[in-house]
Amino acid sequence: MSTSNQTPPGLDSQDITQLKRLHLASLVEGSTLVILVCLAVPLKHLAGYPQLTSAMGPIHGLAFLFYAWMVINTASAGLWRKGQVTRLLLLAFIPFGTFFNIGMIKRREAGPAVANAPANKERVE
Amino acid sequence: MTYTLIKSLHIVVMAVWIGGMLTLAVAMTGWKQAAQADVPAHLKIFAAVQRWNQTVTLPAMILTWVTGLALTMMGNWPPSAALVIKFLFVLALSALHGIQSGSFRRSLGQSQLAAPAILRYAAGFTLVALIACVLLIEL
Repeated sequence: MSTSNQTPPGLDSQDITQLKRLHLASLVEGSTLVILVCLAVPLKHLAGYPQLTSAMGPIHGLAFLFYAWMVINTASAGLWRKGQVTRLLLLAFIPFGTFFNIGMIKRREAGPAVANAPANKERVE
Repeated sequence: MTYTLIKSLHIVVMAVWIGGMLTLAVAMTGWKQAAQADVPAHLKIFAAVQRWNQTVTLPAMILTWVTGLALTMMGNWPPSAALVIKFLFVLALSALHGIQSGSFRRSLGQSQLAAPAILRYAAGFTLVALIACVLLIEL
């Protein structure tokens, strides 16, 4: 697989695509969790309006599944260290948590800032 | 009518997803067993497998999730142990596919197989999970 001139050293165009997808998945996962916990659940218990919970529950479930899949996929591609994978997964359980991952994902997209990431040590440039 | 259509779609996309996972497992086993000198000749085939994985298998997996969830909600299935076990198998299959996809993409990038040892059992586990998921419908 060729490494294009536009991509940072250590990453190929598919790595960048996968990181952009993880970025998007983080935003969607974080947003659906916030809507579910901060809006739908209070509406259900305080205002007796359970419809939003019924709708947002499955949507958030799918968003979480895709986010977790993307984390596993990019980790298996050698883009994250073990500690970073733990962080990416743990923050998904906290409202607003995945928003704190955006900076880390952007830095990874920008270049080999993660010095010890396996991709940087083992890739053939 | 809609329920039957979604059920049919669920079976089709699940077959495509499982087929894609088995293809990845077979390709990685073949890569591992190939002599080092033969690998460059096979890279085009491995790249085609990777493209199929990205364009067909991945959407099929997502559609399996969506249609499965829709069937559970539309059918008003009561929560049961069988359903929970089936869900756990789907989670495990999804995680396995994530590991397969990432490792295969990384291997192509390096032109050298880089797969964790767990993937040795990928084909076997995929088949066991498929049989379990089908049988659990009857429980």
